[in-house]
Amino acid sequence: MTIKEAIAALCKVLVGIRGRDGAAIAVNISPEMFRKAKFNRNEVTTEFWKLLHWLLKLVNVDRSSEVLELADQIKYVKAVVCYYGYGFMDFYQLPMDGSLGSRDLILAFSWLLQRIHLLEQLLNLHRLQVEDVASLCMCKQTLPLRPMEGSDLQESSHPVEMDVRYLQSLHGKLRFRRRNLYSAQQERCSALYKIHLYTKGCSSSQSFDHLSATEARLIQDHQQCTEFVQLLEHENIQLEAYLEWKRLEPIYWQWMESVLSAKLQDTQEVLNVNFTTVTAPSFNQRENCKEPDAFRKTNKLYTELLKLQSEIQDRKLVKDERIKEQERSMGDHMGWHEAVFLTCNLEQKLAAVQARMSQERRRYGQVRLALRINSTPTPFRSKPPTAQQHISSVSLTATEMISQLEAEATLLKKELQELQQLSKEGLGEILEHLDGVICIPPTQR
Amino acid sequence: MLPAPQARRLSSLLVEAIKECTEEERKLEDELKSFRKLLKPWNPNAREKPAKNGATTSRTEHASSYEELQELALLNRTLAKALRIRQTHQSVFEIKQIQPHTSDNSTVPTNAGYGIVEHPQAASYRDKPLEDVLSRTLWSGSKTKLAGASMNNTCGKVTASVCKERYLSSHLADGVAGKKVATHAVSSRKPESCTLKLPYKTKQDVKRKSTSSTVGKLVRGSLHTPGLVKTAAIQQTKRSASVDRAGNRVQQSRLWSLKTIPRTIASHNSLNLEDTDIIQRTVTPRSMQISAFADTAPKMTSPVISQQRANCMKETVHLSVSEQNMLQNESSSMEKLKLFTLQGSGSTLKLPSEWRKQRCRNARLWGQVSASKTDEIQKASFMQNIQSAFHSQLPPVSCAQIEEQLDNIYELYKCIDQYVRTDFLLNSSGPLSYQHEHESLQILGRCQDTVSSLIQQIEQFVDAEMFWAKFGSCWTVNFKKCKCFGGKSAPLLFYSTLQELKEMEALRFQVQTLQRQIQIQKAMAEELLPILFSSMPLEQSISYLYRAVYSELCEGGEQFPVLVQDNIPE
Repeated sequence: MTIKEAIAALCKVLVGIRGRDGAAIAVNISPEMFRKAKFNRNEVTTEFWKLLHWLLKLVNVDRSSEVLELADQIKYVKAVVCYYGYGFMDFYQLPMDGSLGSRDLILAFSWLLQRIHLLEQLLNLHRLQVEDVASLCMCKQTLPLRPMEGSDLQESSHPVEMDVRYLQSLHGKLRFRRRNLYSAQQERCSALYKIHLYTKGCSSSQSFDHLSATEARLIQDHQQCTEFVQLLEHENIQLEAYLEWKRLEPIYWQWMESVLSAKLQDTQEVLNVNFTTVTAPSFNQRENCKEPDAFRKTNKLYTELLKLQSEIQDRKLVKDERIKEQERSMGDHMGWHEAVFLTCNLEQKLAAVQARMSQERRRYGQVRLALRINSTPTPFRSKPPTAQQHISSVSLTATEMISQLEAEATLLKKELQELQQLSKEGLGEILEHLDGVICIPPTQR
Repeated sequence: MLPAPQARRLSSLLVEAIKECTEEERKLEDELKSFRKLLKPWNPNAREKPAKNGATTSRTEHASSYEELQELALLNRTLAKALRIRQTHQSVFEIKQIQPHTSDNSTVPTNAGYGIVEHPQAASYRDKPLEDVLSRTLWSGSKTKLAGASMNNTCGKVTASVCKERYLSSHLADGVAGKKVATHAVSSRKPESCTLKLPYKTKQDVKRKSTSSTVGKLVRGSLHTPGLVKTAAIQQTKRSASVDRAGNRVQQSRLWSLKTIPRTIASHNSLNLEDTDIIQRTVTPRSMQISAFADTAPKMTSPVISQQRANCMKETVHLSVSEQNMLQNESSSMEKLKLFTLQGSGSTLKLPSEWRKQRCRNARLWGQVSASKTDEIQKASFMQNIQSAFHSQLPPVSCAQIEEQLDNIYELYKCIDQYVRTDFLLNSSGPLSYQHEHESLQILGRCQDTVSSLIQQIEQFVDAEMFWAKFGSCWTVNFKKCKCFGGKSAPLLFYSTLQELKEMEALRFQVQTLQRQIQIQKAMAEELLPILFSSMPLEQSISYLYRAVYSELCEGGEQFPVLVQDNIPE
């Protein structure tokens, strides 16, 4: 159990990670690389940059497949590492040509390994999906608004006006597309149901007794079957490599501590520099980027919370006044200590919200579908639960999900209606300024 | 009209949403295609992919022995029948002139090229109806075009190959039956044709059987433009395709090789000698004689030719007509043997053994992975050390953490906000009892505490964001990461009826749509209302804009308000 074995195991895992299209990593990873990085040798710096870039792109499900220059790759890595909150300032000052800093890179890499559970995420990401999945993701995903491109900036100098009818037509197109999508989804449901129903009895799992559509396809199409078998084999090799790495992991972390202390010794003075001098020049080269959405959201939320606070403050004052009046008028008949406070259902509500949030923490992005036609919701286990079943012991029923989704849908509908109401009020204001025009809203359907 | 920047933002938002929808739809369509394939009848024992219409590949080498046996049986039967029929027709085997009955509406003045020939063997007039039958079946829709009587070599060759191809494909369309028959027809004519030489070499291959027969039934003396050839080829291919469905794979390979011939023909306006050579090289020795005829057709006033052709055609037609039914029967029974529906026998399916082995291994390994516990001490101490060595002024939360917690804070805020606005106790305007007032005071106090703690958190976030922004990380990576629980394997979801599944999907779709719609609504309200506010002086055009904005913002773009000019004098 030497450090070399541990690093070799890590390298094996890394090498086996496949990208989106089955592309393997383009970097030559070896234990030598790590060893040289410890001593801050410069030959391996570019390799480390490339490695980090590739891994982070995979983890962030970054679909862009453009091949970037080394400088762009370095920028990307720095941005992501900053996003996760890495705190060594000299990392961000590493040169953009990849000539220095292998030790910093290896530290950042190890930090990321733990911070975002890099290997585990990557293993799960490209896991072979054999069952039929449905996506139940309910988190608010916003459409990415592209920042203003160069061509747009040009156009804004002589602005071309757009007709509102164009927007209306786009909106209509969107509605049409949605209807198509809906019908396609419903068709998928019925197809899956049929397949599950017809293949009852030839199970491949202990929890349910039918084939999934993918499995049925494997029987139909032998070529695909061999492909899948190969993929599965590859995954198994990956998993074995990962288990080996897990066994040897403690040695690696011990070794990393030595790397860290070496670094701290060398750069003791530099670390606690006033951060304003650390305005990373590489970052400031960036073009005028818009404030990201997250920041805007935070600011908005902040203002709203402040508003709410002041309102609560006012109301409290009013209530205080009233209570004092009542007390004065009533004299001392009822002491405050006798006031029986009814169950404060605000507490309940807050508790419910907290529970909902923690439940939402267990929100399921994807679920595997399985047909079970029986009355009892609890799955029937004929064998004692093995380790396998422990994993899949978290199972849901469609009825649960339906109620959850219904609740979410009603909330969202209400929100949308509120927004529409707000707009109506705004438009009503505008209408007042228009002389002689009456607006008759359409009849409610 | 809308000014550019806002409009562009909105339009790009809408375009993104449309793209997203279309992308999802496309993925679904792909999936649905494979599902439909599964649900149709298919063959679970096939080692190769089932052949598509007209696009077969040469995979006949893999035909199972079962199929070959079947086919052999069929061929033997047809052979026997052919022999029987030949016996009966031998006596009436005469030649009469073969008018190029290539179409119903052509006049063929220059048929003389082939001449009306009297053949020593009297042809019965029974030939004619057969020929009509043949012409109808073969040449439907094609026009005759006769080149000049002087059939030059090229034309003749075109004809030859063209007609041959026609015959080829038509023959194929009629099924296997014709093959054997024609071979026999050819063989029977051997003595008559022995005068002609065989200029070409032959190539023996699998395709022999079918080609021989068709060539044997060769060509009438009519010329066809390549365009017609093409249409004929397409027609014939279609017919062959329909026969393909009967499931005879061995035949298909032969079909394929022969189908390529029409295409090569169609692509040339005038064939030269080489082409005809190539085509004819695929023909067997017996049929070579006939092709030789074809080649020399223009040179001969061909009593001989016409006779052969008449014989061939007649026999083929007759036999093919009679055999077609038989073939159909055979093929349908074969079909029943081979095809399989998921509906009928889905429960008898078995996954391949290698797959099952790998799956077992896979499941076992995943179990080990999730059960593995590492020694956390070293890990934790490294992280501690490195975090403590970080810059002292680093904010305690990173952008990632901010994003994670922002949604929670928002939820709590909304909850409290809603409560404060709607709770009965807090909002009743009339005087309440002392108790109630106290209670409401308590509630307000509680709200205030929560809100203050939230504000504290938010302030922390704002400071952190300022730091990060100054630091230059305003370019947050375009994360599309779903914040859902993605660590372990996806859980199982059990449903019991189709209705449940559909409802669940419908609701999820609704949720997603509503989320999008809310985002679009907010963006539109942000951008469009100020425009209206600011452009109030121009009253004429604003009513259109007003109407459009109203419908978009308040009715989801589905209905319009009515704007009425109130200019009735008071």
